[in-house]
Amino acid sequence: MKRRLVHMLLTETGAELRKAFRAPEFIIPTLALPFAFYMLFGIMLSRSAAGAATLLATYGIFAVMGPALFGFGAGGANERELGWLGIKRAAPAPAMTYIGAKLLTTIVFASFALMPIYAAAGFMGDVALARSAWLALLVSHLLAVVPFALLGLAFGFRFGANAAIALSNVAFLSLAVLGGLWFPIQIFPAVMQAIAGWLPSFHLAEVSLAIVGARPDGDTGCHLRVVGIMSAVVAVLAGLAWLRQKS
Amino acid sequence: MLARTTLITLGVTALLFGALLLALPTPGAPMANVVSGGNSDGNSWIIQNVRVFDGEQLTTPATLVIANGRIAATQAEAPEDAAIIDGRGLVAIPGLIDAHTHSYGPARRDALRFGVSSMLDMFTSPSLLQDHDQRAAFDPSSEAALFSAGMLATVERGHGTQYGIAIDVLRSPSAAPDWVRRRKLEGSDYIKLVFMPDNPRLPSLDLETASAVIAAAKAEQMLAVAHISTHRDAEALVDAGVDGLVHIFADRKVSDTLLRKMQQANVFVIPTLAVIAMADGRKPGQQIIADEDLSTHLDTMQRNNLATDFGGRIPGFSLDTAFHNVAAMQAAGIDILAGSDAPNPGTAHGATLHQELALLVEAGLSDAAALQAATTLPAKRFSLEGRGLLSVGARADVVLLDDDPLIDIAKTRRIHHVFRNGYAVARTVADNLPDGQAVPADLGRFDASPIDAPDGFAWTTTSDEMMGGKSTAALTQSSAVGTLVIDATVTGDFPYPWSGAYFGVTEQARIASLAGFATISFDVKGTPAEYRLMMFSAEAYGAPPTQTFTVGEQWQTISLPLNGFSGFDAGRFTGMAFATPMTPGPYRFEIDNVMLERAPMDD
Repeated sequence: MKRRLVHMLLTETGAELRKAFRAPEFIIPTLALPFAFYMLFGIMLSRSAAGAATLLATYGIFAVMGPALFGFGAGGANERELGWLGIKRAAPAPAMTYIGAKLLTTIVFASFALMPIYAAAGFMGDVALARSAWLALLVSHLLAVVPFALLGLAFGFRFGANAAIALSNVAFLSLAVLGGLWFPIQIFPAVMQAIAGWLPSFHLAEVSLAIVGARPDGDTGCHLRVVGIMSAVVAVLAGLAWLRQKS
Repeated sequence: MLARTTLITLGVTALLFGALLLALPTPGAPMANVVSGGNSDGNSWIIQNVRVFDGEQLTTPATLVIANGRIAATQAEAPEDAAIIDGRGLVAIPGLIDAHTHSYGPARRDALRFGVSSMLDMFTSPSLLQDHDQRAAFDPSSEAALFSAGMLATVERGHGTQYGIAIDVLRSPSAAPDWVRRRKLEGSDYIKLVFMPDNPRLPSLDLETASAVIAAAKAEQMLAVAHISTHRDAEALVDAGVDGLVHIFADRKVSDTLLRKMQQANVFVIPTLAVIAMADGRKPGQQIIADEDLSTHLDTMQRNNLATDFGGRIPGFSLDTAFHNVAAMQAAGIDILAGSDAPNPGTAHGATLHQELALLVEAGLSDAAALQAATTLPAKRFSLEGRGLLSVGARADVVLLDDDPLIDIAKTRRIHHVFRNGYAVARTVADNLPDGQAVPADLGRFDASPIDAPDGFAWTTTSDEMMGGKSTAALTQSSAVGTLVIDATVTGDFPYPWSGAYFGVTEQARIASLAGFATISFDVKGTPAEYRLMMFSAEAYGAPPTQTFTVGEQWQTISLPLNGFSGFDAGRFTGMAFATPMTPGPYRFEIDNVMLERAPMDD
């Protein structure tokens, strides 16, 4: 039973991956945009390794956000409108394999988005971290898939394809800017800084920043708990959205 | 089929990322930074892939070339045998400049161990002034370069006269021009004056004379800097045209008027926050002892001095007010310079400058501004050519750090290498001094004549006469009961007067140990007042560790814990003084049964 489930998950993931490989016009910009941004701000405009390390932490979150939000949000809504989700529901595979496959695919693409950024940071920006810190940074970045994928899922289930794309875009940009992924939020007015505390992107970035050593006094445990709570809230929203689209 | 696609994709992703993670650079691994080839005893180095503090920020990794003791532009300028250092992960900053020190004894050597390669002395004996030619040379040196005010401008019996140095005091404003010229001939680099007219105990220059000294310094094209301790005094001297203040005032928050005046006159400030913290009753010295990056390079004398204090809080010094004033001045664009004011109680040459940088950041300076306060700014304000910036042609006084001080200023303590005139400096601390010989418990019963003491020790008189004061003391033995009688007269001719009986080693080289003893006890009676017991150890400078005790007309037994003498190195004991209060007058007191006691738990 378990083996069959795993096989179903792998098969479903394979289909997702194939689909993505066949539509490179969607996936390549999603992967290339964060890298281009990091090259510009993290390497060329930041003149110190400290700056490169700080921006590596936040642009890593940014890189993961794209595949997670768009893959689930826009992708999910599209499939539902095409009736593909109806077929899926009729098929003898549990709903979780559908979501699991999307999650695995997102992690793969997130990894491909992260790789060139890490390479640029290490080999061009002179960011040097302990092996364990590089690994912890990767884990913290991949962890960011969870809340954003759930958010995308909620959009995808609840709204039509056009609305989901628009919403994903708004969420993508505001989470990036207001969460301090592009610039340190200290340069913003106090009101905007106050918003950051309510965004998962900010708390995820704080965790990554602590790993690269930019937050010597940071309370990583606290930020992780906030991310956990926020993920749970979005999960409930996604669940509600799933139930509504069913009926 | 599809499942295989998944497995292959996942496997490839994991492999690629795994390989990338293994290839990414890691910091300061012990294998990196090794010196490869070349002559590591020389003054030429090629430091590869090192980030350099350029006065504003860190550069991207580049090669820093030191050719024959100077910073060079290209590797071609370095001799063939230049040693090569792998500087990956390292940060090069200019040798630090401590803008407020007093350089007695081993100060210049102590400072260099901590990467301080230039010191701006704010009063020392003119006999210690460094020869200017030697300072300009590029010879190997284990000491920081010394720039100094030499003698300070003060009045008879004023602040500065209490250290046993013969002082050329100022008696009138008209004496100022000649006085300044004498300093210039002696080798002073700038003029330091003391102005604290409100201090009840230590007299200093009046405003008229202070202004005359400032004007005379300007006429000789020398900087005039001033010791002040209040807002009012600072304002008076800024009005008189002073160039810099060597302390920040901490009695009240700086007024907008004074800020504006300082801005207009381009006055700089050396806040010396570590010493203000000390005066505010904090224990900055203890923090240094507890910091492993610093404490491993302290010698015994520095440790002892770090453990001492002013004996309590001094009114008029609030660290929070000092922080506020530093932040306000920084915001107003007034130059803030880092100075340790070592060797005051609770400080150590070199180590305290690193603490001062952290205190400046705590006050509100950015990490970069704090670093500038100990590099570019003092070099600029005191015209120290070729120091404070690693530009081409500059003197190769360089500190290599393991970490980035612009992320955390405390990383200036993570010193990897110190170069002075291009030569690598040995940072090892030579001493780990052994305890002296054990002392018997009975130090004085005064039953035999002449006055008896254990072998190698003696009871003698002590007074401020040895520092130029006029207090006197005489010892007699009361044969009837066998006690030591001290007849003392205290005069006010020395700022910190004392008189009394001294128990100490008879040969100067001898060192004794009180290790194993917990308290000292004695019987005493005499002219009612609060008396002092001061402890002396071999490696100590400055005011001796002191405890007070109250004497009445009846005999009583006093028992003082040895660990109550903060900064006293019991293993390196040389003597102790039973002394009168500072208040002038005649005193007569008797002591008996001076005994050392072990802790009750001991044997």
